[in-house]
Amino acid sequence: MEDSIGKVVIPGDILQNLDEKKGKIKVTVGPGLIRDGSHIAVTKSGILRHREPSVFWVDCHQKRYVPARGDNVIGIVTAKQGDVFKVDIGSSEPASLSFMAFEAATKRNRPNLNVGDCVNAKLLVANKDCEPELVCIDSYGRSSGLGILPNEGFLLQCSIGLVRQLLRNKFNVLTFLGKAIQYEVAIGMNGRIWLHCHTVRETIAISNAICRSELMSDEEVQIMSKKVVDSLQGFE
Amino acid sequence: MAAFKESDRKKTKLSSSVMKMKFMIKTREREEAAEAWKLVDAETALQDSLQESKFITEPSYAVVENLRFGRISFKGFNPDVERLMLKLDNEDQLSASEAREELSAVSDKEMTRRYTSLVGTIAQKFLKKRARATDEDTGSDEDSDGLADAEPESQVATVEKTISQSRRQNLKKKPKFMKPAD
Repeated sequence: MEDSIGKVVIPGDILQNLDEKKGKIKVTVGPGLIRDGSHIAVTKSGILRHREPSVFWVDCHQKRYVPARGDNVIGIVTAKQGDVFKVDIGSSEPASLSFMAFEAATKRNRPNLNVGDCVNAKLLVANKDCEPELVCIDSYGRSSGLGILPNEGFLLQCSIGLVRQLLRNKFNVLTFLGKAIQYEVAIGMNGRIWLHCHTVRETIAISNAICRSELMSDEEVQIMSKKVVDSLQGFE
Repeated sequence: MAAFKESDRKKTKLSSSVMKMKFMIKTREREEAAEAWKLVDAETALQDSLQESKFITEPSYAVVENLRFGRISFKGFNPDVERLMLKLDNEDQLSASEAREELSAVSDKEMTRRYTSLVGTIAQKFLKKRARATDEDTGSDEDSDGLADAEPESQVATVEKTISQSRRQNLKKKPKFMKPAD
């Protein structure tokens, strides 16, 4: 199957011999591919990618979020139901978040979370047959960057491809802007970016720059971010 | 699953009567939560084991593309987040270097092979000289590729003889001492 790596595949395509030459290493089948008996079938249209030693997935443009176990997402609390919060993560069904799934939470000491708050959470259960379940702690019970996002930021929505692009490259629009501007972001795999800056001007500029950078090359992104920084600092 | 079992073995359990006491409430709650986690993990492990072993299905782009953690701060805006970023970066580098090391390291098989030969050589060191000599003899006999015949041995013997003779001559010559006046 070496010849179709880097080429366009469409749903229904069947990939054979994915496991050849790999010996004992198990083949990891990523998103966009499913196991269908002894061979692998494609479920998304996009480009077939491969990473050593034997990881295969389909790289595609997508705006609809489909929950996947282990993803970090940004959700908005929509309701409190007994001991769980209902959280909108952009999927077909709202996810549930137990009030015990926070750092240092006990039955008496509940987290202070209200309807409309943003949370950065990890998907613990993402099954097509049942409700997705979120947690804000890791397996050691520590928050490790997850949890309630402060009420001061700005939430913007973008495509899932852009989110992956921002998290894949060490040098992207965020780092270029980060050399000149003080800010923080939380990026969710569900296409939501939470942005927190000192001023509204910076927030607008950075959010526009992020959205624009999706279809740009690295050089173009660099030039654009330089322009943004210059105009923010009063140079035209 | 295996990890859980290991941790179980390490942990010494308190008796149930102690756990019921009032000051143990927090610990009990923590243990209960851990139990719940185990259940969840057991479910997913079961799902994995039901599938055929040749492939691993991984639905998340984050794992497949090796994406980094999505909480980023710049120029010290949020020091907590920056500390976390630094920590994750270090962990990444560590795992990468470990993977590199694994590639270049000696495999278990190689190690056992080396050690089996090493055991013989070190054992010789602790043998007495006579035992070592006989050991070597038997060893060479066992090897016996037909090369260990008498010929090289006799050659060695003759060489040794000549050396000892010349040495003796040297010894005889030495007492004769020449004065500078002569």
